Amino acid sequence: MNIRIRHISHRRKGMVVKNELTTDKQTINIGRATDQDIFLSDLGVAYHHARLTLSANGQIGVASLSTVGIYINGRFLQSGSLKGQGAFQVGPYNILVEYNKNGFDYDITIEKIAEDIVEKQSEILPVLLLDETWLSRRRGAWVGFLLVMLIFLAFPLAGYFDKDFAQQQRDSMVLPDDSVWQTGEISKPHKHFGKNCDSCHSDAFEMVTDKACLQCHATTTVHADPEIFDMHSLQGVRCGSCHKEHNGSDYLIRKDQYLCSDCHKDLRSQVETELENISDFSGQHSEFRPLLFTRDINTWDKTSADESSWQRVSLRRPVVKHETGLKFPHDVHLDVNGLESPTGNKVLQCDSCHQTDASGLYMLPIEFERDCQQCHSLSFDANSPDRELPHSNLDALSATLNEYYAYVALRGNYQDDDIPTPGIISQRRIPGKELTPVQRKTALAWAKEKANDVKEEVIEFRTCGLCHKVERDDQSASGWKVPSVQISQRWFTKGTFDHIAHRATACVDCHQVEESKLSEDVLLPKIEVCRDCHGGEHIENKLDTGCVSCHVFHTPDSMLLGER
Amino acid sequence: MHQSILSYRGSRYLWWSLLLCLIAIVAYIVDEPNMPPNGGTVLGYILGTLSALLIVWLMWFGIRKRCYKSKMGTVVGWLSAHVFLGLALVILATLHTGFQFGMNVHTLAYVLMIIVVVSGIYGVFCYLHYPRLMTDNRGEVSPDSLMRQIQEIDRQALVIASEISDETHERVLNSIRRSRVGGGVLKIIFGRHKKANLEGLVQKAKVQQKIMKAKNVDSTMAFMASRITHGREDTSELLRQLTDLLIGQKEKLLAQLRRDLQYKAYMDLWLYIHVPFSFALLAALIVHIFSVFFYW
Repeated sequence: MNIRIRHISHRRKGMVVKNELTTDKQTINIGRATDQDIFLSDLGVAYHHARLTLSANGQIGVASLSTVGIYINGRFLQSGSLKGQGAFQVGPYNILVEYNKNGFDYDITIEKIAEDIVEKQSEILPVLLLDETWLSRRRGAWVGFLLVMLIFLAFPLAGYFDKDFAQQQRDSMVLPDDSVWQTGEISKPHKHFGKNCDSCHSDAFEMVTDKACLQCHATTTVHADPEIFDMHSLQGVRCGSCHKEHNGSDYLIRKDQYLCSDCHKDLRSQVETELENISDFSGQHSEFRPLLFTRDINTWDKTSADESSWQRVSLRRPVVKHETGLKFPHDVHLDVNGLESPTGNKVLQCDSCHQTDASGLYMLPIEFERDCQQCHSLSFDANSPDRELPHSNLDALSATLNEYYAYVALRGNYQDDDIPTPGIISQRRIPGKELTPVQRKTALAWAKEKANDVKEEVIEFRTCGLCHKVERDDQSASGWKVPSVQISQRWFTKGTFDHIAHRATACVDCHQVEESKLSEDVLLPKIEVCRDCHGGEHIENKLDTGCVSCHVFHTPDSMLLGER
Repeated sequence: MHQSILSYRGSRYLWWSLLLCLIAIVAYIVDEPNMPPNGGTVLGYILGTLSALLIVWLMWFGIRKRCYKSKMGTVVGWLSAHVFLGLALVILATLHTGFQFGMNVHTLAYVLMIIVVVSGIYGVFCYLHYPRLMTDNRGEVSPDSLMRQIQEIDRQALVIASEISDETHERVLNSIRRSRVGGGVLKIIFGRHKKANLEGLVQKAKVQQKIMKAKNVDSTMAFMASRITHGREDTSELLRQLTDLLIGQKEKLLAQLRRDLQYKAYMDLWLYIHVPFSFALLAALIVHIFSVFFYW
């Protein structure tokens, strides 16, 4: 085998060969001892450092003879092998072994690559600073930045443009969807479709339009017709201007006073209106204006009734009357000693006559049959105490009387304690014996007279006239005029009032009824009464009563939002 | 005269930051936005815009500190402002949220911001704490100088060892090869390295092992020590010199150097949280702003 061993050094001029020899030994010893095939004088080399074994087929084996080892491929090893060509380091020397090179079977080139072993060692020193390790701030920054962009921007955005993909995302537990953009909890009523952001957010970079809301809320009414109330604050207002979603359930509907006072505190300077400027329940708020019947009930022509007969009248006026057409003294009815009634002495309470409706919010209008008749019987003849006259129909009343007295006249056996009656009326009849035509004529004449007498008595004095303001009227067929009763269905038409919420309070705390002698008296509380307990938003020691406690924003009698 | 970043120019940025926080807090208390406090109110937008600008400006510090030619204030001044305004950011951003948190990108941005600020606070601690320990450790001597001293000791040791015996020389060579500073992340941080072990000489050194254990020094040193007691008369002085070099001087220098690298690593380590998380925060901030206006 033909092997060349060369010691070289690289200088500025080029490669300089210091020493060259050839050998045919297949086993080559390397070390600092003088008998070594490759003699390396540096102190970084052991006397017998390593052994090189060269095979004819180009297989090169390197084995360390000392514990110092050889440096191959960046590692210190005790042995290693190379194929065809390769280099390893011993101390500060690099030994390059090449198979079949330059006409030799093996060409071995030795070069000192460092001043000494110490310097050589410092060259292969491991990293000293964190910057030199695998740790990288820049890489970390890129990973963090791109990861957030991918998960929280790219995925949800892809769903926006591809609805099918969006559905996949929403169904999947892993894929991030646009719910990661949600800014807060959706209100309960909207939650059932809240996962589909595009139910409301239809157009990118555009605030939620009313169109989206009206898909469901088309029948909601507007607050004021912008055509009539041409105000800046009503123009361009979206549903979303007030209804702030993604703040949970409590804030979807605004309840703050500013919602109303923003415009109403200075309404009159902005628009022509009869409404007063109102800013706060405790401070700037008009006196209550119940809807009252304001005409003279006796001269009022029922046939030409119009809405203006009912007007909202401020309780601030010195005299406030509500023409009911009735004679009703509250003081008499509420006598603490009680009243005579068909069932004996009875002390009346408010709820003896006044009932709430099924909701409990409002009082039902007084009805004769339900609320009065129990005491105020319409009976007219002591001989038949259970027989009562029909209510609110004078013609029927006349007919009833005529029929009744004709019947008793023909039947006979009718006793009248006060006025003597003809014998034919009071006598008992023999069964089967008919009256003669003369007797019949006499009896019916009596009956007619009697019916007329009773009619006059019940209408003017005993029954109708007791409660109604009855007048004789020769023009009418019945001969009397009973004015129609005007009972309010709702006193406060612009506000709401909850009687149930106030059930802990006695009726008389608000309604001063004990001294009232006339049915015309309006016994509704003034605003001052409410202010005993209720204050505006900024009053600390009273119930917090903002505008929407009593008023609604979407006024029921306004046009629908969908028609706007 | 050295001036701490915290007391830079009478802590002027501390007072600016406190003023900023105070204004924000008062505004938050006074504000009545007709809805629950959140980022979408007028004050919310103001606080959000301020916070976003602050974040961008705080991150700009990474660029400013590399602009050595910049005349826009000193880096110390910038760092001082970076620290105090970074702390003020926590107040501003928290008020911007209106304390509304959830499983979304907006809260993610907030959490990332908190991580960045907390890591920054730790960084300030490191910058105030470790330089003093570094000075205590190596005085005025530079790490390069320490390294050169160690190399010089190695060279001397090799010369002495070669005069003693081939075996000793081999041991010293191995010792040089194995005496490490730095290395992997954990090695740098914890400053722990294997000491040169016995390898093939285990059996030979059985006797010396007892001494090694008794003296609790590393194996190479134990070998030297045994050679002093059992060695030939003429080499014992050389061996004494060798052990003095390798035990007395080199190990001390190595420990100093390792400790120095360790401190340096501590001072850098927090930045590997601070910087990547701040970029993740920047991304989350971009997505946050984009998404609230995308789905307005």
